[in-house]
Amino acid sequence: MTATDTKRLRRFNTARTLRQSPMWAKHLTLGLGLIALWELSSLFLDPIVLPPFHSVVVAFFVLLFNGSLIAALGQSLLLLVLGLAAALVTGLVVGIIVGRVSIVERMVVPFLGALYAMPTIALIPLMLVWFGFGLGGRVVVVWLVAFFPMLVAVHAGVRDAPRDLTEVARSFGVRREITLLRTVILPSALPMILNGLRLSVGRGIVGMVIAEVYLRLGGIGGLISEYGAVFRTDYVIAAIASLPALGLLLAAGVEYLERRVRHWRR
Amino acid sequence: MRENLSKKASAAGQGENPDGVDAVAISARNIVKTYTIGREGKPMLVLDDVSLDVRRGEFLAIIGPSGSGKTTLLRIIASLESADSGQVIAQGRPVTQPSAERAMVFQHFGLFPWKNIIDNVKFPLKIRGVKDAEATAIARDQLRRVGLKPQFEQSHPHQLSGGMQQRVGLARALATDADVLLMDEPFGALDAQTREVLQGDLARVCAQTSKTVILVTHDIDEAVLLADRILVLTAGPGRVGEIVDVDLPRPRWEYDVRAHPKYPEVRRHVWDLLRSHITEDGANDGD
Amino acid sequence: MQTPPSQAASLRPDAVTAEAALVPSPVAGRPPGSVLRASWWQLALRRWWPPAVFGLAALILWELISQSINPLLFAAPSRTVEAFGELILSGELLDALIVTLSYLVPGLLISVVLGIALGIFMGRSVTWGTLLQPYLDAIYALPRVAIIPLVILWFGVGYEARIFIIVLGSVVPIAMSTSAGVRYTSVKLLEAARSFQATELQIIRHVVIPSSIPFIISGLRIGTERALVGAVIAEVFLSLTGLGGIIQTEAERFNAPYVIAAALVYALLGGLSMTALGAIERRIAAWKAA
Repeated sequence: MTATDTKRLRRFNTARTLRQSPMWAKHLTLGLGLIALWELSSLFLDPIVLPPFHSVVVAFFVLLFNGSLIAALGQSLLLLVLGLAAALVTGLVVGIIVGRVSIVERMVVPFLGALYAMPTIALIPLMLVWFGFGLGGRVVVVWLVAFFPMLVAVHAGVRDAPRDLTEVARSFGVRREITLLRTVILPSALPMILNGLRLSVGRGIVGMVIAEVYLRLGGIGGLISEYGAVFRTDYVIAAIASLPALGLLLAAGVEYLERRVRHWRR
Repeated sequence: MRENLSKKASAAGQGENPDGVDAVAISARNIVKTYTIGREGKPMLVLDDVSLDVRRGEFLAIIGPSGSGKTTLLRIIASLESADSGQVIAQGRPVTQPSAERAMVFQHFGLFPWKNIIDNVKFPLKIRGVKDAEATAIARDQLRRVGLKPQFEQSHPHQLSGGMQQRVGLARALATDADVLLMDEPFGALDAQTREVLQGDLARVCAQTSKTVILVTHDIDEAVLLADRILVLTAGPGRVGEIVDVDLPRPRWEYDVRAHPKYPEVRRHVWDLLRSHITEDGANDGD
Repeated sequence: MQTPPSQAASLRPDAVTAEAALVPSPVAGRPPGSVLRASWWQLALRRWWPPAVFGLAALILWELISQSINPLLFAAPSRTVEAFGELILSGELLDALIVTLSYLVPGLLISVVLGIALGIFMGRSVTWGTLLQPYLDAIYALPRVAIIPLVILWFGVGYEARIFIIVLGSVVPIAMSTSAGVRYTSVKLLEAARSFQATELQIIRHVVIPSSIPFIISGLRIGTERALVGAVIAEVFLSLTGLGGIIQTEAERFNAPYVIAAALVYALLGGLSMTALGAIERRIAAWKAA
């Protein structure tokens, strides 16, 4: 697309308002406007329904400095890391087997579609019943929601490994499957696998919160339901606001992993 | 150049003179256009004070080396782009937005892939609120006029060859019943044989419907074959170089124009003009 | 014309990878030569015996293991079938399904209308699209269970609260996908429409929406999936009704076969809606070059 085209497109699409100022200024204006609207409407509402913005900020810092937020984040993070690691390992093993052994692939693939469409969340109560309400049960919940995206991504990546490269490797005398995997298949499947991991992180957070809220125990989810039960809405919102921080933290973790692995790749 | 100036003079008087309205279909006056590449790039002058008049029922070809802004000029006339300064006047009124009075034929055909052929041709009519039965009848007529067989009516564009798709594009433009057809390198995306056939058909259709046509092309043969006059633009920035009268007998679709004794002469004249501008300006950015 | 995945992929990589994974690989396919003389049932047999054997083996294994430990707690397949039949015969399952659908369908419809409208608005106005994007991202990433306490405070635990939970989850992916499609609309075709003096509404109707259909459908896929999840969340965490009600109540009683029976209906709903969307997509996209 040439500059002319973009220019044309812009003229086509741009709303006339707010047109001249730079984008960050518009973002700032909208953000501040929303906060102002929030403050204003909280004047007319019960703080249980909508606490003013500033008291949410205060609540956030109270939680931060009395240590309960850090503790909760630590618990949630532990749960997530365990569950995701389990999903990553099992997803890799099963995905590679499914992707490399054609008879297994033919056996399993039709079920993958069905399992993928299944709202795994419906099985969470059962998982907790089966595996207990302790850390083990919660880890299984995170694993359950994170496993399928991982498996599907690994399988697709392994299956689509370029045939010509595997042939090159074979022609240079690579005989053992494990060498082939390490030298050709996994490196070429890597972008897909990392994509799957990112997706699993998102889902894992959902599973984590569900497990915690369901059990009203531990972590950010526990914090949320704890304050929800005593109608401290400002603290509820402050605790909810810390969830994106968790997401960002894990995304950074995946990125770190990506850099490490890419390094190994070269 | 002289002719251009005299035309401009006559166009200037047309506001008061009703006869002028009859004679001139579209005129562009002192069009200036610059493009800025990127956010802070240097502005580049594309069209520098271009003026032209198109007579009613005339076939005008605009030709120029790449970078001469010939397509930009057409798009300004169509009001798909606006000029930095200058004016386009149609029917004695300044043009500010696209209008169904000037129908456009695109190099890329511009057919909607999700509409079948007949619906594509009906599109400008539906836009104007013409009743479905009437629109269908008009569309059928125009498809027949451009030589598309009725069995293709329900096909989708991707099922047709490029030449056939452009026939549909032409039928769509004709369906608007616009007096003016604006054609932006309409045959540029077609292979040589198809192009030649379509050029012949276009000549026939234009003669039959007595449309005013502005055709942008980079193909000298196409310009000489079809046009009454050829406007040669200079390159970077585009200015009016010369307007060449093509003094070949009409109707041209009834004989082999290329075999006419005057043909090589006109062709060489246009080529000489173009070549001098190309060498003058050296390398040009594509437009 | 255009292929959505490049944009849709960033929106939802799982959809793309999932679909890619579900296409039988060349390795798994039959050697082309052998296909020539096989009749349809031979083909079907060749294609379906591996999954059939695998499924049967898995079921038998599960049956044996759960029978030897605790058939009720570990939902032996025989017990699950029994539970399924029981729930159907008593009418409980049908009643629950109707309850679930009574807010799943309206919630999804609201999401579709709102999502497409919002998506078109965000796609046509670059400024507003960019301005609103971070808020949509935040809503999309927010686990809905986390805001259950707020939803209870705002809407109570009734019908409105359930609709809210569903719409909150589904409207965003539909809007994001639609706006990606709208932005992908060919500038050339927009211009062609404009050259015939089409108004903004006519452009949206004749150009923008048809060209965005593949994107809209891919948004609907995610939206539907999230609507199903929303229904489960609403039923388990807000008030025990519908299929989620069965799941939660029976889980508390350690009646695993009943939990799985109800969860299977959810899976069925998911599978059905995905199949339906696939069929709609194939129909609507008939104009696309093969």
